[in-house]
Amino acid sequence: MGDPADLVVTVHVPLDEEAWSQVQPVLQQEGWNQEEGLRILLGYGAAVHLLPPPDDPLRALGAARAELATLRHRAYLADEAVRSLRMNLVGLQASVAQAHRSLESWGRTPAAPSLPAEGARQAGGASEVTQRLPKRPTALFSSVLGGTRPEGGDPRRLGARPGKTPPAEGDRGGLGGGWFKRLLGRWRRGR
Amino acid sequence: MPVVSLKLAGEDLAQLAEALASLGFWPVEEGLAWLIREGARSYLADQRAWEELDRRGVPDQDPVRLELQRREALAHVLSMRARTLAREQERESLRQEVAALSQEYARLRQTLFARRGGGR
Repeated sequence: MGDPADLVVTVHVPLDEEAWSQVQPVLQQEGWNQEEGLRILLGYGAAVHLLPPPDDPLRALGAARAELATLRHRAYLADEAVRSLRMNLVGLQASVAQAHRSLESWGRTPAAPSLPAEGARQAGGASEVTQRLPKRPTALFSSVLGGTRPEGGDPRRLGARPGKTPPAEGDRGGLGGGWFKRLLGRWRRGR
Repeated sequence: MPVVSLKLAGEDLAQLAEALASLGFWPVEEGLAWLIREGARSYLADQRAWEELDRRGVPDQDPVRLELQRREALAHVLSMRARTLAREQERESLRQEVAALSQEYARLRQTLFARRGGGR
């Protein structure tokens, strides 16, 4: 490519009604699309009026057919390459867009903790795993159970009676809860 | 008057313009319109001539048959040359686009890996 002989030029040709009335039947008869059909007819007119019959018609026909076969093969190769390149282009555009999105999200998200979980435990701090756990474990299952609130869910669905204040944060009913300590104190006092 | 746009090989257009100018056609678009009109008229006439040759059982090596086939082959060559060159240009353009995007993607991946490595 880049050779001036390989240039493709677009020309704008005025065609009057009389010309169209001659051209249309041929295009319809042969099933050619407009641009290709007009080019073929242009070439036909040139072959008739501008390229006189050669002395050796058989050789001239062979040369024209050989050139046509070569051009068809080149067009086939180019068609295949274009089809493949278009698919590559679509895939690459999606990959580049995804990479841009990833980079943008990296820019927004704060850097992850640099200490691994075991190192954090040894250092006496919270591990990455425990930091990522939600404060209310029930919230993990609320969506599965049909809850609509991601944080804590609906108190009625979680067993709280109407009018009763839901348990405070840190008073989750486990052994370390305040009600158990109060019960234990009452039992000790009773002994 | 309706105007049609045609893609032609530059080499073909140059030869056509020279030949049409020698016949007195100027500008070249007027000559091209004449060629299209004459091409349609000749094509239909030659189709009838071809059918007549078939009906009479004229042999394949007959000069008239060969001339009709030569005209048809040359017409398709002119059309196919433009189509082939246009498609090859499209291929080159797409190749450049794909190469540029590949480089862009490689650069983005490097940046992403560098950030992930720096975050640990």
